[in-house]
Amino acid sequence: MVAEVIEQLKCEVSERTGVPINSIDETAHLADLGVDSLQALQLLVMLERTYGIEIGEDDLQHFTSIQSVANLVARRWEAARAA
Amino acid sequence: MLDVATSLGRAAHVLDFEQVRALLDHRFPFLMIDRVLSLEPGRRIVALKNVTGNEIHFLGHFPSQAILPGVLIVEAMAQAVAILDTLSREAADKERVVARYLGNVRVQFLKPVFPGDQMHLEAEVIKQVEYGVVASTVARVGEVVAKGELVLGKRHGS
Repeated sequence: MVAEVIEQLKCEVSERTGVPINSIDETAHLADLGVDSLQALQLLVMLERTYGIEIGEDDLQHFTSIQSVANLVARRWEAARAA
Repeated sequence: MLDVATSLGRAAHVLDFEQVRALLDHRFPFLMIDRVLSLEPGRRIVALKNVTGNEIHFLGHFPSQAILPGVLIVEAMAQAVAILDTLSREAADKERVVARYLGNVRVQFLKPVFPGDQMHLEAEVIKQVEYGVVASTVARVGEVVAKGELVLGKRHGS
C-alpha cells in the first residue's frame, strides 16, 4: 500500500514540478521538490478521491515528504477499511 | 402601483453589487460579479455576471466580433469562489486576508459568451483549509459554457 502511494505521489509531484520522476527522493521535503502549499492541497484532494479517505486540515502537518504522506494515506485507508 | 424592480423581473438575490464590492478588493475593470443569487456557506454559491458590450476588453477581443475572453470567465469563477470562501469563515479571517491568488486551474471552455449574456457562476467547495480552497465551478448561460476546478490561495497579514 505505502509503496503504491509513493509511486503515485512521485508521478503527481513530477507532473506538477517538472522534476524527473527518477530523481525524486521520497524522503525529501516536499518544499525542496518544488511543491508549494496549494499543490499540497491538490495532492490532498487527489488522495481523498483515489483512496476514498478523508484527510483533515490538521493532517497537512504530515505533508512533509512523499514518504510521510504515503504513511498517512495507508493509516487512513486501513482505518476506513476496518470501520 | 407596480414596483419597477418587480416589473423588470429582477432576480431574487442574497448579495447586491455594493455588498459584493465590499467583499472583494477588485475594481473596474476587473470586478466580475454583479450579484450573488444564492449562497450556502461552506458548500455552494451561485453568482451572476451580466456581460455588456461596453466592457473594455471587447475593444480588442475581438474588433470584429465581441467574445468574452476565457481568462475572464475563469476570473469570474475565482471571484465567486473568493466570496464563497470569505463568507464561509469567521469575520475576523476576512480582515487578515491581504491577497488572494489563483493556483492550478483546469477549465474547459465549451461555448462562447457574448455581450448581452447573463452568466451564472456556480461553485462548490471540494476542500477548504486555512490558507486556501479547492472548488469545482460551472459557468452557465442557460447551458454550460465552461466548467472545471480551481485552487484559490490567500495570504494573511501578521
